Amino acid sequence: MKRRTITFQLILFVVLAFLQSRFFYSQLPFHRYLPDLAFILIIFASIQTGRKNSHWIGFLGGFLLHAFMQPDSVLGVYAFILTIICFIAGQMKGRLIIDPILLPLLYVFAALIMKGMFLFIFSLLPDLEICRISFIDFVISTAITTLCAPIIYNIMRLFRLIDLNERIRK
Amino acid sequence: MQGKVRDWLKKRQVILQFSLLLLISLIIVFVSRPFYRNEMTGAGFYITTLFDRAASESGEKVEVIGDQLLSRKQMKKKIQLLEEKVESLEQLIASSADKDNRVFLNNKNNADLNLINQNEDYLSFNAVSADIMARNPDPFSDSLIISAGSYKNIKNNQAVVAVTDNQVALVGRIVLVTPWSASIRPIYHSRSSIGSRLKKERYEGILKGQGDPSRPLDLSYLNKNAQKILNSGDVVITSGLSSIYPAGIDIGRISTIKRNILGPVLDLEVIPLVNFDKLETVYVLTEKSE
Repeated sequence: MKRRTITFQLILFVVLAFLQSRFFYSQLPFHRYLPDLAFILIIFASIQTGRKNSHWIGFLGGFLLHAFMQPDSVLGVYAFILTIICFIAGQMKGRLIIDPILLPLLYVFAALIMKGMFLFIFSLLPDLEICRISFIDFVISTAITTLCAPIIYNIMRLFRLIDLNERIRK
Repeated sequence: MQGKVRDWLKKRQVILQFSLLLLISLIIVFVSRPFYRNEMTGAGFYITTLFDRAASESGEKVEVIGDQLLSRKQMKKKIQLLEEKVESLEQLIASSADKDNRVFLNNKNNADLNLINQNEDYLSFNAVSADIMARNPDPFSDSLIISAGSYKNIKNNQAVVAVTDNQVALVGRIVLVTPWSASIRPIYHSRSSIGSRLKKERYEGILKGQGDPSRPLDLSYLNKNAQKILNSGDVVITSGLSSIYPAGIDIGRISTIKRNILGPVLDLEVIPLVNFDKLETVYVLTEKSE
C-alpha cells in the first residue's frame, strides 16, 4: 500500500512539475535555461520503482513530456530516449546508498548527458524536427538542471515521497 | 515444450518489455505524421495554455488589488484631483475653436498599430496584437507562446511581426493554435526557412535559423554577382515567394559576407532586427475579411 501511495504521489508531482515549469518564464531573468524538473522526477521515480517497471515510467513519461512541453518535437522521440534512460536508472535501485547531494547530482547529470547524445543523434536524421542547440546552451541548461537535482531529491525525501535507500535498509 | 518457452519468456520478461517499448516508440517516430502529432500536442497545448493565461491574468489582478488596498486614501485624493482636471479640460475643449482636437494618450500599442497599418505592404492584412506569455523551457524545441488564439482569427502559418526602433520586423510564424493562445516558431529556429531578398539589390536567397537567437541567420544560395555591390549593414526582407510570409517585411541586416571564391553561390550572415530576449508584444498578420 505504501509503495502504491508513493508511486501515485510521484505521478501527481510529475504532472504538476510539467505545468509549473511553464509559469516561471516571465519571472526569471535566465528564462532560456529553466531547470527540467519533470526530467529529474522521472529519473528518481524510475530508480525508486526498480528494474521491473522503470522502463514503463520512461515510456509513458516521454509521451507526457511531448504532450505538455514540446509542441514542436516529433512524437515518440522522448518516449524512446526516456525508456532507455529510465531502464538504466532502474538498474541502480539498491546498488548504492544514496547520499543527499552527490549521487542524485551524478545520476541526473549522467541522464542529461545521455539525453543530449540521443537528441543529437536524432537531429542528424533528415525530416525529424529536432533542433540542434549550441554547446554552451547545452552545458548551461545541463548544469542548472543538475544543480536542482539534490534540492528536488531532498524535498521529496522530506515529504516522504521517495526513499531510494529502502531496499538496502531492509 | 510450451512450458520451456513460457519459462524462457518469464525469465526475460523485463528485457522483452523494454525491447518492445523501444520498438514501439521508434515506429511511432518514423511513422508519425504532423496530423497525429498536432492532435496530441494540440490537446496538451490547449490545457497548459489555459493555466498560462490564468496565471498571467491572475498575477495582474493580484497586483492591482494589492495596489488598491495599500493606497486607498491616496487614490481617493487623486480621484478628486483628476475629477477637477477633467472638468477644466472639458471646459477647455468646449471653448476650443478647433472641433477636431483629440487628446492623444501615450499608448505604444496604438503607435505601433498605426505604423503597421500605414505600410502599403500590409494593406491586405489585419495586425492582431498579442503579448508573449510563455516560452518553451526546453532549449531543444524553442517556441514562443502568445496570449491570442483562434478567437481573434489567428490561424496556422500566419506571419508574426514586431515593432522595433520604429521599424516593423519579422518574428516568425504561427505553428499551433488554440482558441486563446498560439505558438510561434521564431525565425532563428533551426528548422525555419524563409524565402528572402536583399532590399536594395533585390537578389534572392534562402534564410535559415541556427537554433539560437544570439547567433546570426544564414542567407544562402545568393547569386555570386551580388558580392560586388552589397555591403555589410544592407537590409534583408521577405521575398513573398513562399506564400507564408508576405513580401517586404524586414528581417535583418547583413553582418558578414562569406567570400567563397570556388563555390557557385554566395553565403551571408544576417543579424535579426528583433531582439528576442527583450520581446514582449508581437503582431500577427491575419487576413482581412471581405
